[in-house]
Amino acid sequence: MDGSEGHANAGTRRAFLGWAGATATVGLAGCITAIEDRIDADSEGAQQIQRGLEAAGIEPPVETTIYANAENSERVRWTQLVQHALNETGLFDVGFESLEWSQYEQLCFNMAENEENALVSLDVSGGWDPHSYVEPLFHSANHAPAGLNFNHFAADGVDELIEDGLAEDDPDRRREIYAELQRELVEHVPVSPIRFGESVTVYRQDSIDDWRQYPLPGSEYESVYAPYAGVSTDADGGELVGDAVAVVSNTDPINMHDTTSNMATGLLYEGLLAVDFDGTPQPQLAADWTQLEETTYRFDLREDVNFHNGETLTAEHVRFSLDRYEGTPRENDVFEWYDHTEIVDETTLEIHLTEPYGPFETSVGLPIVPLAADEDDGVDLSATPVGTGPYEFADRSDGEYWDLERFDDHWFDGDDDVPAEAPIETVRMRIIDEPASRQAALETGEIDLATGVPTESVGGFVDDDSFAVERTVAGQFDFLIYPRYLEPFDRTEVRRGIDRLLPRTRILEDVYDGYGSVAYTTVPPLLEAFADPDLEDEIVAEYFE
Amino acid sequence: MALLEVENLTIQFYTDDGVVRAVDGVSYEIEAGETVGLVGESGAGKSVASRALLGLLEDGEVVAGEVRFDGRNLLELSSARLREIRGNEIAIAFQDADAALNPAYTVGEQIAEAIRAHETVTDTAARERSIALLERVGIPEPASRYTDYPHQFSSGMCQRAIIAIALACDPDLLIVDEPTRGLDVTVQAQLLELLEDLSADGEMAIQLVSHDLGVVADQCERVLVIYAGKIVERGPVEDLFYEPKHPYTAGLLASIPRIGDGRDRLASIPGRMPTRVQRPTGCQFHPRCPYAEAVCARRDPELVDTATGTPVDDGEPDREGPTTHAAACHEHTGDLEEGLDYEVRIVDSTDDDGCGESASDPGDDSAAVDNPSHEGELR
Amino acid sequence: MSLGTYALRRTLLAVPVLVGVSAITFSFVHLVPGDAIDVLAGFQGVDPEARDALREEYGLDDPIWRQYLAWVTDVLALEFGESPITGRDVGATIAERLPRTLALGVAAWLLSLAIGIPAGIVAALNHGRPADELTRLGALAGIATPNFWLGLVLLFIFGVHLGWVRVTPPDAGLASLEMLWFMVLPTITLGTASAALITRLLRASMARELQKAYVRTARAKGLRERTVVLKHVLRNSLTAVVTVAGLQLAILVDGAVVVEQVFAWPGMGQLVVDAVDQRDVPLIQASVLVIAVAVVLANLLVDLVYAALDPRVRYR
Repeated sequence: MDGSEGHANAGTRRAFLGWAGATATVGLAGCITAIEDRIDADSEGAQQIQRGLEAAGIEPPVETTIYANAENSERVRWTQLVQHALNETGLFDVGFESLEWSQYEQLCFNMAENEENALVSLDVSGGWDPHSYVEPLFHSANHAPAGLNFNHFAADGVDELIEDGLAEDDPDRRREIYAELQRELVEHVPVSPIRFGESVTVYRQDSIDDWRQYPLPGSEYESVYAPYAGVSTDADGGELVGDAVAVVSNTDPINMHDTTSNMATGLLYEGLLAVDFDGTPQPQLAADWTQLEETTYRFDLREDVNFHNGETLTAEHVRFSLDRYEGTPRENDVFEWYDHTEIVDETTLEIHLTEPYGPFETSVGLPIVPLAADEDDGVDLSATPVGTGPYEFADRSDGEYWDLERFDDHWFDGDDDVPAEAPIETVRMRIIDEPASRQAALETGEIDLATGVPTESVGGFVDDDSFAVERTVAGQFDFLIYPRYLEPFDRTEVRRGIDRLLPRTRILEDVYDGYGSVAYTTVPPLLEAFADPDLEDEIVAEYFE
Repeated sequence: MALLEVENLTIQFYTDDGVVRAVDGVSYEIEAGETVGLVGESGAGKSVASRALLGLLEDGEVVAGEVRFDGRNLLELSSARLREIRGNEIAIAFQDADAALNPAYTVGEQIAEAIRAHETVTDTAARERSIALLERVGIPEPASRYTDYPHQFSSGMCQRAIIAIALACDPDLLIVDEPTRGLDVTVQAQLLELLEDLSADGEMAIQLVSHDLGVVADQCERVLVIYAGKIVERGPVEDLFYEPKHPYTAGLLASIPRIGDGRDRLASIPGRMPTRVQRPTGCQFHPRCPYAEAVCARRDPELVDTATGTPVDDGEPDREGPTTHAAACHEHTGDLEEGLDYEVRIVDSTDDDGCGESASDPGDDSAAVDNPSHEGELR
Repeated sequence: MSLGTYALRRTLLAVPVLVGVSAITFSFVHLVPGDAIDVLAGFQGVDPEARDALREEYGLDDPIWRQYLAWVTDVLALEFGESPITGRDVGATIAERLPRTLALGVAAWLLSLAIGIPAGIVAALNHGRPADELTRLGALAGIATPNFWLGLVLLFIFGVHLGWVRVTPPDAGLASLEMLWFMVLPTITLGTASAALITRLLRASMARELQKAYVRTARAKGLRERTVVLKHVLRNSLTAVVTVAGLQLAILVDGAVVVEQVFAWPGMGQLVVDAVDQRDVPLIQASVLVIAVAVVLANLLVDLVYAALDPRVRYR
């Protein structure tokens, strides 16, 4: 909720926690039916746990409590399945409790400090680079409550690998580092990944042609018109009405801290590069780029790019847009790698890094804003964003809708895949907090598409010919956190035994209706370059069979 | 034909404990301009009977009897017709005046409202008449008091206001229910004076309901004594006063407080009235009656002419005339072996309080302030 | 004391309350754990230079009373400053939301009175009879039904299945017919529980009043039963309802979060929730102040209506 996400075109390096959002469902959690396939007390997992308990001199059953937040009924259900699976072994006496999010958040962030005897369940979303998932969760510098390393996990090897992965810019070498890191993490089991999520968009067949789902939250509307990715969509009457799940809070890139604002400005701002629907960086405002040295990149800008306020893009705009992050809430988006911009000429510039930075190409595509944003009487990007994108800000009603209209002076000249003029003239994002209401609005045709339909309702739309359902793997996974500061959870054997017992398949099928895939590692399959199926198989064979 | 003829009025209440007969075959009549007292202890049924005349019972039900007013049986009138009579031809001034006024409206408005309910008058006219009524019942500075709220009135003034409301449409019959209850002695006296003035006009009949025989004695020409829902004695006030023919009446006389008399007389009739549900057999009074004999527990005595012993209550109200002195006691049909053994002594109140007013004539209009003092000695 | 004098006095008495409320609201910034700068900057990590600038901008080096006075002066001019989170003018944000909340809150309140009062009268006059039992059952159901659930059920029946109303607000002015039509469901959703509460209260209160002696007096005057009930009994019974109904008005204004969510209604409730989530202290301050003022005004209104209904109050 209060975590954040960079611009789709930008490095999506900040991870954030999900609480309810799109996946919240109406009504209470379904009852958990008795598990038919009883867990054999002699199973490998149970034996591992037993060995761990014996070594620690602890008599079973071990008492603990598993928590979930009440707003997320799916999470409530899967934690109950976990509770049941553990109790079946006879080695645990696990209670279940659900809390309101604010309380739950407190519990999670302070669990290690308060030595809570608690198993907690969360999901985390990241970007196109594995760093965005592993660093906040597992680096020892990110212990909660400052970071997302909730159970204060610390391992030298892990910290080093995380740092190496960040500093390495050779793709092959990076792949190796992250594979190594995954092995380390499975070995240590600070948490257990449960399931990789999916992003789902449901839309009305009669109003929208060929919607393509962008996999990361905060970039749902890229499909409207994304020349860099060869994607565009047409809507009936040139008008598209979609949903937004929360208010548009602040649209200035240097203050933006929520996915909805990001989503609302995705069509409005452009960056040097943009990451396409498959995770590949593509030129956007840059016509071309080259790495001159380990820490220097040269960009050639497109010519005749106009801002919505009439300014014409120059290298100065790029420097201004990056420099202005200094001393702002989003400073780290840039200054983790950025040293300075050197203007070569009107349309050529060099970005100098402080040190080699692995995820540079997925990070550099930050919104380029007009120089007028610097002036006191200039544009206030917080409320009325101005960029170079194919759509410009039209209107807003706080908490009700956010309107964009086609920017007729956009630079793109058209190609085989994408027309020069965006087919959709106006885009309205209607703000609807309640998932069931979004579904209702979609059914009545008040919105043409919904990015946040509860998973359990998606099935109904799949069966209905008037609707199309677009799904992709997402950069998100659910996971279980162990109180590894407490006996017997401080023992790797015990955690590994539990990890082995977790009913992942059942959770995927029963709770999530098959949406997503079971997770054993912390790199989502979305990150094709890093998610190695062979590695996954190897891990499963070694630890789970 | 009398102005009001009540015949065999019988009222029941239905409670969780069973059926309660609050009024049990009461018959009486009131002539135009006459003042009649209805006396009995609390719960005897006198207030219930009075309210029933105008269909104002909240939970009870009239199960038998007739109430004829000007020849019309009130009990059979439509609610609209009955409403035309209420407050207009027959008016009631309720007891407990503080509560009987609506705290949310001015006193004046509550009077004017009664006028407007029956007559087409302008607001100004209603107001002027209301002020006149306030003046008539003795409220000082009536014009400015008109806009006062009940909580700005004293209890005595509230009672006067209640009477003013009742007088609003010059009723032919005014029922006054316990006008002196809860008021201090001086205020009581002032109110009685007011009632006396009203009855002195002679045009309006008054049914004065009270537990206090002294109050009634002062005002009324005739008195009805009610015990446990039945009339046990009735007659002209002098007869009843000097020669009570029912032991209960004698007991009531004994319980009239005398001014200056420190003794607590109110409890001078031993025992309590029967509860409404559980009633004794025979004469209702016999458990408390010092003269009770076996026959009293077996048979309920009829109301008979005390002179002749012949029943007066055979369905026709007062065949022998309303002034007959009648009582419901076996003594008068010669069924008591020992008889009633009490005598009435008249005590001159001047001996006690020096007010200098003889109370020897209870009907005397001039006996304005003092209650006549009696002592009924029960031996 | 005339009603006018009483109103004036009672209004003046509200002033210290408002001062207290404003003082408490003001102190939020200093009560929230952490440096006031962090609080005002939305906990976004501010570098030292910016801190000094903010410190100066907000006058945090001044004595506290001076800060308070400055703040109150701004507030009286309806200047609530800029939100550190959204970068937008707080007053403008509230001005956008408040009319929506007021419209829905007042509509729901009127509905709850329009249903609750007649239903309460009918129930009280038919004490123990089927009409009373039916009303009682209805009221119980109304109180027991979560408005979230009720809202969704109404939305799916009348919006999705029957298609009579939109499920999201139309693109029209607040006073337009379209908007009024849309507001029917949220109004019902929001007003139901209050209506039920008022029904029950009025029923009990009227049943009590009907037993009182002045009712008999009124009937004995020969007044029509309707006059007796509506003029005499109802007025006295309403005093019990007014207290609750007045507070209910305040509750409806700030308690509409759920209904706002279900019907995508951009009101204050949602704004406050978002502001708290984002630790947007200036916005929280302003919202709390607005809601507190609404509560104080509602209380004032209650007292004035109460005094109009029951003259004894004015003389106490």
